[in-house]
Amino acid sequence: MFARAFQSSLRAPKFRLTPLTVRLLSQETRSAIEQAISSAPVVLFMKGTPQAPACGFSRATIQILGQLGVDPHKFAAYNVLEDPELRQGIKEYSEWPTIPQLYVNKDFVGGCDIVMAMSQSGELSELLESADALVPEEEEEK
Amino acid sequence: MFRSFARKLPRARLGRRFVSSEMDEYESMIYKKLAQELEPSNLSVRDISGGCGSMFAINIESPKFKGLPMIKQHRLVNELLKDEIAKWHGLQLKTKAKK
Repeated sequence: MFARAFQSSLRAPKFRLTPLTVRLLSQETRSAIEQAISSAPVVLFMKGTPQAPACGFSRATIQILGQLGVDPHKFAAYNVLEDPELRQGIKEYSEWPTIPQLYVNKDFVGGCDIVMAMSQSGELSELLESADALVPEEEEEK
Repeated sequence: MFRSFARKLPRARLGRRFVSSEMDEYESMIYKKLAQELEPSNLSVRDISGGCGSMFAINIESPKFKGLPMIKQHRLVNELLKDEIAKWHGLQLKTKAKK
């Protein structure tokens, strides 16, 4: 039905949280989110997909991660627009009111503004480097 | 319900000049709240939604941010504006510790 035609270097796992009736962050949602943030060293919760971001903030964040050379094999993106449970749940889990949200090695890094500021100061590069999440240099030269 | 809808109409904006530092009612409300809690040395609140009123750019420089990592500075602001942010589509937040 739904053309999932994008062939890309960036993974967009088909991850779904089970629908729940309660609004509050349940144990189920919590463990599903924990599973998501453990799925790769660099995890982004965003609106839309890396190929087609559905929001300027998500787009900017994806661009920064791309520019810094995040290894696609060490990256996972979750589209919160596909899952209302995730959209609300991740805000409560991170105690952060907006999307996108970046996690590195299961630690919450921040949203778009923080990612941008950290990329300008060089902090983000260092963080990704220490998480061994960047494409190896010799590979990049080819 | 109706009142909050009415507030979102760009009515307040009509009389505004194109380049203006004047804030509308809602922006002022946000501004006052932040000014009161953070005693900023520099503060600006701007509706950058282009009319729908759900996207804001906020710049804050405050001595209260001193010694806090950026994530904590942002969390402080997020907490203060929790109820408002929940209604918005986006927030572009810049914080700076007053030296």
